Amino acid sequence: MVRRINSDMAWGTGLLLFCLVVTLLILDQPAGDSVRGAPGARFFPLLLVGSMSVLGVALTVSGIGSLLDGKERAPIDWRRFGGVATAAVGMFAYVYVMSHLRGWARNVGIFFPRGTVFALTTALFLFVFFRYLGERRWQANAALTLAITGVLYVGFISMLDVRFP
Amino acid sequence: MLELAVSQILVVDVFLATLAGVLLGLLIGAMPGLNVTMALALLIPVSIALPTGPGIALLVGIFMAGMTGGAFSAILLNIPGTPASAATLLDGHPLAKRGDGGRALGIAVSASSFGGVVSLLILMLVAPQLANVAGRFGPPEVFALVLFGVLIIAGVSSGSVVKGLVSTALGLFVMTIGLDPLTSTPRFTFGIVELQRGVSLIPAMIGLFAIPQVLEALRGRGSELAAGIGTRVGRVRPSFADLRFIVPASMRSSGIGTALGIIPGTNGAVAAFMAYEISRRAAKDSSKFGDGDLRGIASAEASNSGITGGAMVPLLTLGIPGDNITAVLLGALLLHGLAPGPLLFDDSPDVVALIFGALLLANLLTVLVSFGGLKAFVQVLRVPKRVLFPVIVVLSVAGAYAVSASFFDVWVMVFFGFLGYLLTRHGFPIVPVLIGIVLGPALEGNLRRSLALSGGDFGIFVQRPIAATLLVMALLVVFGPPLWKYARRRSTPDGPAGTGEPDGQSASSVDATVSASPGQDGDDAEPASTHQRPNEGRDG
Repeated sequence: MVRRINSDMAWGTGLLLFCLVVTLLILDQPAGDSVRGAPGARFFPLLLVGSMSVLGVALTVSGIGSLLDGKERAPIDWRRFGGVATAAVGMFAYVYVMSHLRGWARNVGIFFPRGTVFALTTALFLFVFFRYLGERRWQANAALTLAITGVLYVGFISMLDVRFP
Repeated sequence: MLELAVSQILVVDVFLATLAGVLLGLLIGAMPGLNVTMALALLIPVSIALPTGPGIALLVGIFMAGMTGGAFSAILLNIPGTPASAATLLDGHPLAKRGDGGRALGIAVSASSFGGVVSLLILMLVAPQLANVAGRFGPPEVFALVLFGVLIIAGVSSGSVVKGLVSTALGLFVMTIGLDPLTSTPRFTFGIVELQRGVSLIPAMIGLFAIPQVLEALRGRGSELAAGIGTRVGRVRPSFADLRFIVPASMRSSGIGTALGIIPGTNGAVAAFMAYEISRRAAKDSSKFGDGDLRGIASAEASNSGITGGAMVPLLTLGIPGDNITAVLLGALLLHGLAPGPLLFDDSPDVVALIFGALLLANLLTVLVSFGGLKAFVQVLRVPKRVLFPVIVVLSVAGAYAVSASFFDVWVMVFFGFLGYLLTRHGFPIVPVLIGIVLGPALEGNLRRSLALSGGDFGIFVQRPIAATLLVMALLVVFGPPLWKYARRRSTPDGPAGTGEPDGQSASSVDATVSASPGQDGDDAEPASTHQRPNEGRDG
């Protein structure tokens, strides 16, 4: 009797659900015209979804087989995911602030020259991330942050003319 | 043609532009988060500002050296700088982890240069004839070849063929997002304007290969983050014995890369993996493939450099780019007022000679600069991880943004970063995802064009001998190992179930990007080697 769900079963089931949702979305979208006998726009996605469904079944069966073979798994150590979660939040915040800061500032009458928002948010992100990863000396942290931000600014904005906010 | 090519490059500004391109290409290739396509796209305005000769030489230098530079981060950081160097890390990174990074890099540079020079010389001699053969490949043949390449990569990249296929299918699905290329019907765009142009390759690639590395390292915060990566490079110049050892694999792989490069829609990654697999099967002792075999590195690099010359054939003779990088080069040539196509050889033989000459010069300069300054390049990678990883994140964000100055691409990069992490944690390889994204358009386009030719009859793939042969080979790649395993299990009913390695199965199964190997059920496992041996009980 299946008492626990393992990774393969979860992925297989998830894949089947994904295929179901995508199929509904495909059928909801325009079929597209055939071009000189070539299949329309739905053809390839439907082919893929059909293939992925077969793979989803295979994964689920494989997962069930592993369970029935009695293969045990180690318990998950959730503490180790703290770093990952923190990095995820940090990354989101970095990109979100960079993409919106200019607009927010403009709403209050502050105008940043080109590249300034990128430099400010990058410097803040680096400083916080270095500290989080163990760089306790704030002077070294600040020097590194400024140096790296400066190099990136010169490299991307001045030399490569990338239009950062 | 050779004489004309040499005379074109013996001009000071062309030489200096090529050298500048080589330096930039190596640097950009070595840095995770940056890539050759982006660098080429960003430097086109610089190229246009220069005269035609130096302008094209600069881009060619970046093109050639960037392919080699991609091996630096693949070997030392386990992050491929280009899709083509994804095969290099299978054997390159294990060597680097053992302190033999310099040897791996030296072999990569040597084989890469060998492949580039060989392919170029072959092409200069037989370009017109090769273009004629490639011109006869119709959509069914190209579809079959691309499918074969995609499935080979799915089979090689992981201990589980099923998981490799799932990854491939996900990548192929991603490429269906956007406007249908044949009918312009929107697919999965949900009314979002940015999605109409589809998912951009560069943010997806950066996300898939750079972010999971950072996240995985953060699971083990501690003293290891204070350590640099790839600090032990050691001797870089390969020994004569090593060079002699890799000659057969390099020659074979150069030929494979050159031949595949000619066919539009194939690319360095397909060539690299195909050459790798062929070399592994041809080797008398393939036990070390996936664990630091020099022939693995040489095959991948010789082939992906061989494809650079090959990809120039359809570009120059047909005006069809062979891959993403040559697509950017096509744009550059058009902006320089040149018209790649059959008439280019007649109307502008000096430009053709210049391109060939610049490729030759770039190959030679890459070797000289690499061996002379590789330890200096590698210094960039000696910084502690706690400094390098945040910089990788910033470079990833900047690199993704630089594609089209859009934060949408950055969010795409972040999405693929977390997708890549989830996939890797649960034993799914991510190289096939990238391959699916890169080759999806060619696969779908040629499939639908083939069916258009046949009026919807799938029999066209059986009626064309080359297409049929390739499809049979593709099916063997997918179904061969599990069927063999099943047959062996049935023939030895008292043997251990689910263990042992069928002869037809890949001897080295690698989850190619992060250093921790997830447990069988994907739960939190102790960090282990990147390499998963078949007898570790993975699903087959």
